Amino acid sequence: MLEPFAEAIAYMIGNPTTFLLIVFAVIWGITFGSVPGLTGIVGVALLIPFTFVFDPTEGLLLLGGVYVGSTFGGSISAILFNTPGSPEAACTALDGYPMAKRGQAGRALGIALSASAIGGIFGTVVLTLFAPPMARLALSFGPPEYFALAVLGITAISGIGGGSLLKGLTAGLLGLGVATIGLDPITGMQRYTFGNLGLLTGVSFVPAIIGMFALAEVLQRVSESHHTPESTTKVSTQLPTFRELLATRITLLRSSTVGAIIGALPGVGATTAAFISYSEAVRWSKHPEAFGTGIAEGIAAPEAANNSAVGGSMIPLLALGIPGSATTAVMLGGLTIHGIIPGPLLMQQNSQLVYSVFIGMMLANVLMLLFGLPAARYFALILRAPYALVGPAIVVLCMTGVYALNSNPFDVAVMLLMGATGFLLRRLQYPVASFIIGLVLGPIAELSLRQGLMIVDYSYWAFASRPITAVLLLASLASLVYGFYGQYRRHRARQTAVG
Amino acid sequence: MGKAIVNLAVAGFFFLGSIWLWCIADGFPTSPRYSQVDTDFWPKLVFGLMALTTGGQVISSILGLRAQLKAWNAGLATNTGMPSAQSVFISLRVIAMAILIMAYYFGFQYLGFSIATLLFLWLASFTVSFKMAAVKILFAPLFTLILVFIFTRVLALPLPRGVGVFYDISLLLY
Repeated sequence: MLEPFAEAIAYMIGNPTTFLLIVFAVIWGITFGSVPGLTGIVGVALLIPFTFVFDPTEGLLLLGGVYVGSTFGGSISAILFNTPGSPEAACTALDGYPMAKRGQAGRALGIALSASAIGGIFGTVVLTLFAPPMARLALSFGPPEYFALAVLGITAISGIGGGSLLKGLTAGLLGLGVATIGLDPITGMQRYTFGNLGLLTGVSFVPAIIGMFALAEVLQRVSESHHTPESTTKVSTQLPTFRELLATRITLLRSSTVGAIIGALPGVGATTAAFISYSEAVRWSKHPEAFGTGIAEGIAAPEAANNSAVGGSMIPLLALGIPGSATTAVMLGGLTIHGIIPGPLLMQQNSQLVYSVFIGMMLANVLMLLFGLPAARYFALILRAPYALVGPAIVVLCMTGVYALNSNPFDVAVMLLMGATGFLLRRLQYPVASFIIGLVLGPIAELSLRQGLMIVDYSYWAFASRPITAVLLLASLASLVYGFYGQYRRHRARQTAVG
Repeated sequence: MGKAIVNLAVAGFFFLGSIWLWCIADGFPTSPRYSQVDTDFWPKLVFGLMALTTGGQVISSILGLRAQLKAWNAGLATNTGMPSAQSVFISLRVIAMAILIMAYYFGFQYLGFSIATLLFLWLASFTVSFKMAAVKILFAPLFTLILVFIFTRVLALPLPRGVGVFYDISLLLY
C-alpha cells in the first residue's frame, strides 16, 4: 500500500496543476451545492466534458473535488434560508436554521463546516485504509439488512418532536405514504397515480424537499407579523472552539462511522446517511426533545455523516465498479469516457490513480475549510437584503432550479404542493423531520422488505434471524420503546409543571 | 378553542383519508406470482398504521375539546376566539402570496420565464412591507436578467419560453 501511496504523492507534487484543479473543483462544488435545484450531480455532470482535456487522474480529481465541495455547499443555504441547496443538506436545515434564527448563523455555519471537514477526512481515511474489506462488507448486505437499516432510521420518529407523539408518528407515516406513489417497484402496477402520467415515477425527492423547506419557509415568513431581527442578519462565520468540538466528539465519531458505512452501501447515498445519522443522534441524546430547536449536535450529525459518505460511496465505485450514489453514478460515466473500468483490477493495475484520488479528496476536505468560510460569509450578505426582495427571489430560484432538473413543469407542481403541505404541517405543529425521514427511507424499507421476503420464501423468521438484520431490528425495537418512554416521561413532566 | 377544532378537523381528515387510501390499495390489481408481497402489501401496512395513529389523535382531540368546552361553560376561558385585524391582514397576505406563486407557475409556462419572473418579482415584493419602491422596481429586471444569463449561457440549461408571441419575445433573450 505504501509504494503506490508514495507514487501518488510524487505524481501530485510533480503536477502542481492538480492542486489548482482541486481548488477550482471545491469552489465550483460549493457554488453548485448552495444553489437549490442545481445540486452536486449537475455540477459533476457539467464538468465531465471538460475532463477530456485532462489525463484520467486529473479528471477524476476534478470530479471528486466537486463532489466534496457540493456536499458541504448545500448546508449554507439550508442554514441561512431554510432552503437546502442539495438533498444531502435537508437534514442540516432542521437544526441549522433554528440556530440561525436565534442570531447564531455564523456559529451554525462554523459547526457545519468543521463537521463536514472532519466527516470528509474520516471518510477518506476509511476509503484509503479499508476500501477492499469495506466493499466486501457492503456486498454482505442483502435486502433484509437494508430493510433493518431503514427501520432503524424510521424508528427515530418516535423520539423526534417535543410535542405530540401521535403527530410525530402521523407525519412519519404520511412521508412513508407519499413515498408509495408511483409504479410499484416489484410488480410494476400503478399506485395512487389517479391516471396522472407525471406521478408514474413517484414524488421526486429534490422538488419535495425544496418545497417542504424553502417554499414553506417563504410562506411562513410572510405569515409572520414581525420583521427579521437584526441579530439574524449579522453573520460572522466562526469555527467552533476546540472545547465545543470536544463536546460533540461522540456525535462526530458516530456520524462519521455511520456515514462511511452507509456511503459504502450501493444505491443508498449521502442523504440517507445524513438522516440515519440524525436519527441516531436523537436516539443517543440525553435531550432528544431539543433536536429541531437549533442545537450543535443536530447540525454536526448530518454534516459529518453526509461528507463521510462521500468517501464511503467511492468504495463500491472504485473497488467494485458499482456506484454508491447518484453522483458517483455520473462519475462512473466520466471514468468510462477515459477508458477506465472501475473494479477490483483497478486497485491493482492503476493504483497510482486510485491513491491520487484518495489524497486529492483529503486535500479537498482541508481546502473546504479554507474556502467554505468566505463562501458562507459572502452568501450570508444576502441576509442583509430586505425580505421583500429575498423571499420572492427564493421562490424564483426554487422554481427555476426544480424546472431545470428535468425541464418538467410537473416537478414544479410537486414542489408547490409540498410547499403548501410543509407550511400546513408547521402551522399545525406536525414535525417536518418525521415526514422527510419517512419520505427518504420509505422506498428503501418497502423494496428491501418485499425482496427479502421473496428471497427467504416468505418466512418472517428466516428474514429476521439473519445476524446483521437481527441486531439492527433489535436495536430498532429497543430504541422505539425507549423513544415512546422518553415522550411519555416528557409528557408527564409537562403535566406536572402545569398542574 | 379554535385551535382545538382545527386539530380535530385535521386529525379527522387524516383518519378518513388513510382509510380511503387503504381501501384504494385493496383494489390494486393483483399478481399471483407475488401474492404474498403484492402491490397492496406496503401501502396497506402504512395506511393501516396511519389510521390507527390518527384515530388516536381524533380521540385525544375530542377529549381536549371537551375539556376546553367545560372550561368555557364554567367561565374560565378568556380567549374569545375572534381573529384580530392584524391576523386577518396577515392571512390575506399569505393568501395573496400563495395566489401569486400559483399564477407564476402558470405564467412560467405560458408567458415564458423572463416575463413571468419579472411580473412575479414586482408583484410579490409588494406583499412584504418594504418602503424603497425604486429598489423593488430595479431589482426585478436585474435579477431576472442575471438568472437568464446564468441558466441559459453559463449552464446551458433550458428555461421555458412560453407560447405564441411570448415565445418570440423569449427568443430575443435566449
